[in-house]
Amino acid sequence: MSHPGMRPEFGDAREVAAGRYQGRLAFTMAGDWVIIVRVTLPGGQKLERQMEVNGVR
Amino acid sequence: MYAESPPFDLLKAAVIGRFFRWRHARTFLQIPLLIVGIAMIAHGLFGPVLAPKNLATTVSWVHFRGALVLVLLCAGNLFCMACPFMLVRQWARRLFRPRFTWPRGLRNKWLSAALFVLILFVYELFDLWSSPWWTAWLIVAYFAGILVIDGFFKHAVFCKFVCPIGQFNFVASTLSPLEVKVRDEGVCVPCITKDCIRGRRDASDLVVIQRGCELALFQPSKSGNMDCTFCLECVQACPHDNVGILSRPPASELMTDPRRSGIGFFSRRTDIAVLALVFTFGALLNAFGMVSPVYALESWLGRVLHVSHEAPVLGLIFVVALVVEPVLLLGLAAWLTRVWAGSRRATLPLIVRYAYGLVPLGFGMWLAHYSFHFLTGFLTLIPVTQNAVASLGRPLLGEPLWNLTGIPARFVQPLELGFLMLGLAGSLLVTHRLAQDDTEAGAHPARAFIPWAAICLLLWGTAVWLILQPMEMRATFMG
Repeated sequence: MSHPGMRPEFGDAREVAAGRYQGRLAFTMAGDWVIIVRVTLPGGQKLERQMEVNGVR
Repeated sequence: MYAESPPFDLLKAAVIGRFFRWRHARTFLQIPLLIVGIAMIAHGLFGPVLAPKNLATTVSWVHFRGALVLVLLCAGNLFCMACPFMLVRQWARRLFRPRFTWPRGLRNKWLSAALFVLILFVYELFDLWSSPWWTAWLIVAYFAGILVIDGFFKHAVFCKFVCPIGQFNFVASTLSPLEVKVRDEGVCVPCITKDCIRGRRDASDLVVIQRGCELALFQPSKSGNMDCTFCLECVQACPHDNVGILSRPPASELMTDPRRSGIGFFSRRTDIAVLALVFTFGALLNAFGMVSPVYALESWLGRVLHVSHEAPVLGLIFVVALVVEPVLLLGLAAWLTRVWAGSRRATLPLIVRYAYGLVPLGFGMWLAHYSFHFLTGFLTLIPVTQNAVASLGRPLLGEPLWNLTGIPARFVQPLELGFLMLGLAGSLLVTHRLAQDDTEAGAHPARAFIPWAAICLLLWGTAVWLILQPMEMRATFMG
């Protein structure tokens, strides 16, 4: 959530096709959500990307 | 016959009493909060932009607010006592001597009530809870405001006439169980030095060696917690060790109307009554801002008014909630108290008199709202701090445990409803007592009570409805 102190939701993504990953997340509350994707590459390098999902109802 | 038992005196308690009697107790509490404040500013300006990962937003909007209301409920205005802004002001006053006196026209609560409304408005308009950057600048503005105002003007002008957080604490602390008060009024009668308000100077009469009350509260005629920052200067100043932190029935000071030192009569202070109304109706409005219906209302108003900016829509909601609604409700109740109950008081004095009766309901709403965020999210301080330390280069506190939050919301909701019930009971008790005393003005007590009780029930019903609404945390508008 965009508000601090709210419970975050966690989920793992699995490879469903070459280069395509799929996972499930529960939006437990209406409002603005921020999804943070953490990726560990085969070489151990870590990446983090952030995307916003606004106006969840 | 039963002898009335003396009130509990926190200053006489074994360990904690000794601590509060210590001359440097306030500074001891202020220093860690100042360090936290500086860390919040730094993290807010230079840390993660995501609010739940940032110390500025997490500590301000989850921990500070929640701990504040719970401490006010259980003890008293200890947050003003530990205010880190005052520590900076003390240091600054070693360099700059304030020379001016605060203008007479501003020696009231009008400015601070307006600033209180402004903060509530800015909070909603700029979604402060989701902006570490704006939150950090708000804290910086606070430091700057204190340095400028208390740098130029004598006494604790910022605390008494400006600080919106302080006004919140003053109003809420009328419901606190502890009060800084003289232990034995008889001891004060022969006192000629009046150190509790004058302070003490050295032999040259130039150097202050002990301050008196900077908020102009003279202990023997001080009544209640309004305007008391719990600085305990009076405790240190009293040469007779006659000032304690005594227990009293919460809200008792709202039921009576003595002449209060530094304040006067509550019933003649329209500005304080308006502050009390902002406190009460602002509690409902602030909670309304976090539930789903507010977005539907904003969207509808935006379409009707043909505006796409949030400011005018939000402004209209604020005017209705903080001006139109209180004027209509309290105006109607006052009219009924005059016409139906037979009170000889005029309408405005009646509104002023009974406005204080709504404070417990307002506090119940603030408690329900802020304790929800605090209790459901108090553990988030751990991963946010871990993350902040890790961002300095080394994860000295370990990798952030982002799954730590707090008590599940379903367990907190009954507590929220309990706070609202407590608020309702308090408001009914105070208004009932005020209505009984209205017989002096010719009113029928039961008839005088009913209109105000109806307002209490209406506001309580609104508060319960708000608590039961689905929450919706949005930092976007009309999405």
